[in-house]
Formats: sequence, structure tokens, C-alpha cells
Amino acid sequence: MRGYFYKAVNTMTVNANDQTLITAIRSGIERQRDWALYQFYGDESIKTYCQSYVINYGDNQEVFEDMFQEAIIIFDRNIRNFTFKENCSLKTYLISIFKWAYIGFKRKKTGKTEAFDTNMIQEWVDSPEAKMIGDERKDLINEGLNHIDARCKELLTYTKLGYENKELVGLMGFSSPEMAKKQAYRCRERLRDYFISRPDLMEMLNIKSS
Amino acid sequence: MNTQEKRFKEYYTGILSADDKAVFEKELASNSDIQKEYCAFILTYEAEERLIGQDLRSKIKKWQDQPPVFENEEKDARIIFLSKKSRFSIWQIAAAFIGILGVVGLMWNYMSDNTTQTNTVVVNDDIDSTQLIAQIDSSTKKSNENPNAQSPKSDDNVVFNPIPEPEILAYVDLATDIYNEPSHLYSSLKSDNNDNSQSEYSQSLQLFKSKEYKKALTKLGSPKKNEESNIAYLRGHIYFNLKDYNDAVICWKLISEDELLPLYNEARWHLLLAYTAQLPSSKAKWDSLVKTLQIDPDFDYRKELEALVNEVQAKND
Repeated sequence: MRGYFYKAVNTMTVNANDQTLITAIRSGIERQRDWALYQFYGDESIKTYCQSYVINYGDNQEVFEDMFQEAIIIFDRNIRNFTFKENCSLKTYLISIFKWAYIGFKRKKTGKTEAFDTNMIQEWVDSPEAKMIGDERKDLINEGLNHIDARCKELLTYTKLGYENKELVGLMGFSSPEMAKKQAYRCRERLRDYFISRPDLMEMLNIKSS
Repeated sequence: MNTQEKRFKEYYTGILSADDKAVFEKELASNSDIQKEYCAFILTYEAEERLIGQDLRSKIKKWQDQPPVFENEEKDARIIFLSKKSRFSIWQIAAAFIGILGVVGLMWNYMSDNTTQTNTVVVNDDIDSTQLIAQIDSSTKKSNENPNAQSPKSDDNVVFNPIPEPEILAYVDLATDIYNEPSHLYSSLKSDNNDNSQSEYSQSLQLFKSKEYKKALTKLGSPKKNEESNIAYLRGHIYFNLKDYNDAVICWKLISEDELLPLYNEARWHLLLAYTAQLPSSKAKWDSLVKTLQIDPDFDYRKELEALVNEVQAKND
């Protein structure tokens, strides 16, 4: 939890209800994950807060909706990937992500962020979320995704979400769990091989060989 | 995920311990192979996350239009503990039910075979020297499809086909007997996809499921270059059921040549069935594919393959 907003409240920890929601998001069961995420997406108190935040900075409902959607996606990702350290409530965490996403949007759009707290901006620049939201790698990633077919994409989505191989048999019609596992591996390898084959791979990521 | 990938992930997501992080960064700075592997890992990882993001975005769009209903989610998530005795009773009931279903299935199969036999009559045509079978296809009576669409020789529900040699018929029967409809695809009807080509795929699959093969084929449209493998796979099944084994071979062969495709194994098995239906003319291809499949440890239809080979050998003997 690196956000400025969290630093102010980092004495808090997640409550039992949050724990249930975290478990549901990490469960790898679609219905449970959807249910947990909807608890936040449908929460009027969070929405109202975020909406007024955007409007205060002179933006409209459309910007709020885009940013809120982006925030929910990052929120889901960080909980699944254990980036969320569970030292504040989930509501607080989502609002903080929303603010990060909004600063990112402002930086991209106007280059001006004077109105925001300096610490908060620095936190944003250093965060993985900033890399994810404003990243120039997007084109390269999209090119890679164009090299795999729709079924592979669906399969990779499910496996990344933690679906079990036996569930994939029913969901995607594989003949056995082993087959599902094998195919997921193959799809992933295809994607990875594409990236490996790119001569500009390291430049894209700003990694220099010694 | 192997150890290296696990370390990449922990480093990338910022959960690697400080000591491990220092060691990793040292390695990363000095080893160009690791640098390359790490770069590919990041992009693969981000690509997978992108897919999840896209999926979630489409869900949110649906939630905006219509809020979802989650009934008793927590209640549903509970685990039900059963005693050994209760579990045994459930197994007994399930076994009895499967047994009854099996008997009903066999009876149904037997009765439908008899119906087909009684509907087949031989017609002697003095004008045409070719002997013809006039087969009254009872399935087309039930179907709303127009049989004239693909069969120029058809007259109402009576379809005239030149009599194939008995040997060929036997192989076609064998292939169709062993063939199972791809029920494993039907579950994908539940998973929504907003992509137009995929919704056409779903509609076609639905038509295929209700045995409206010609309509299913029309819905898929003509084959495209670089067609999605699931569409080509379904197209193969449609052709197979329409007894167009040549085209079924074309569809399944494309998939069977790319082991990275998700339906690779399924396509190879069905390709073999299509070759079986074309025996004896396809013998060389059939033999070659059987040999390949027999030595492939990854092939999923080993038992079915063994049974098919035995049946074909029995017919040859």
C-alpha cells in the first residue's frame, strides 16, 4: 500500500467482511468474484465520493465512469496478486486507486497536477498502477495478443483468474483437466515466444543489457 | 509456474523480500538471458492481465445496463459435509439413475434403428442403369430445413443416392458409430462473448446442437482465411454430420497441424474419424495418422483410438 491516502489511515486493517470479499475475489470462482466486485461497483457511498472528487477538479460524469471502471480493474488485480497488503479497508483502498487513476488521467491529458498533493503525485509516478495505466507497452502487448486466437485468450483469462483445470473442462469443453492444463501452457508459451522474438523487447521495457 | 517465473512475479508485483530483491536485481543486471526472460515474463503477465481487464470491463458494461442478481452467494459458498453412509447412498442413487438412463438409451437406439430400416426401400429404375436407394429420411420430416438446398437429386423427403460399395458403407457406419457429438462445446454456450463472429459461432453451435446442420453451416458463413480454430472445429463437425467428409477433413486438418491450438487433440481424433469414413481410399493417410497418434503420449483419445484400430482391423480381416 503505497498511496498517500493510505499513509493517513494505515493503522487500520481489513475487517472480517473484507476478508470474505478478498477470499471471494481470489477464489477463482466467477460467480463469487463477480459478487465481491459488485459489492464495490454498486456501492453508492464510494461512487458518490469519487464522483464529487472528479467534479471538484472540473471533470464530468463520463470521466468519472471511465476512471471508476479503471479503478475497479486495478483493485481486482491488486487483490488477486497480493499487492494489497491488507492494512486498510477495501473501500479505502478502492478510493485511493481511483485517485491514482484520476491523477494519471490528468497528467496524460493536461500535464498539470498542481492541485494534487506533491507526495501523492510522487507515489503515483512510482506505482505499478502508473506503469499499467499510462504505459506505452500497450501496443506491444496488443500485438502479442493478436497472435493468439479468441479461445486461447478466453483460456488464459480463466487460468489467470485461478480457475481449476476441471472447471475449464466444463466451461470450455476440454476432454480432460490435463488437456486444459496443457492447452493453457501452450497458449501462454505462444504469447511468450512472440515477445521473446521481438528484437525491441528490452528497449520497450527500458532494460539495458550490461 | 516454475521457480524463476514465481520470482519474476514476486519481484514485479513488489512482494519479494528485501534480501531476495537485492540478489535478484544483481542477477538481472549481469545476466542478459535473465533480462530477456524477465522482459518476456512482464509482457506475458501484462497481456494476461489485459485480458482479465477486458473481461471485467465487459461485465461492468452489463452491470450498468442491468444490475446482476446474486442469490444467497455466501450460503452457496458453504461446503456441505456428508457422512460416509450418506455419500454411499448418493452414489447408489446416482448409479441406479445412470443404469436406467443407459437402458432407456439402448432401447431408444434400438427402436430408432428399426424405424430407419423400415423406411428404406429399393427402387428399380429402368431408365438409369445405376441402382438407386430411395431413402426416406425420417429426420428431414421433423426438420424445418429445406432438403433441396444442398441435395439437387432430392424430391420432397425422398433422397436418391448412388449405392456405395458395401465396403465403403461399412467404414462410414463405423466412423459414424464411433463419432460422438461434441457435447463438450455446448458448455461454451453459457460463456458470453460480445464479439460478433463469436455470437454467430454461438448461434451456429445452438443450431448444430438441435441437429439443424445446414442452418448451422449457413450461420457460420463461408470459411475465412485464418479462421478461429473453434469455428473451424465446429465447421468440421457440421460437415461430418452432413456426410461431407472431404470438407470435414479440411477443417480438422488445419487445427491438427498446430499443436498450440486448444482443440488440437480433439481435431486430430475427429480427423481420423473423417479418414475412417473415407476408407479404403484414404488408407495411406489413415495409417500415417494412426501411427502418429499411437506414439504420441499427449494424445487424449487413446482408448477410443485402440477401439477404432481394432474395429478397422476386424473389418479388413
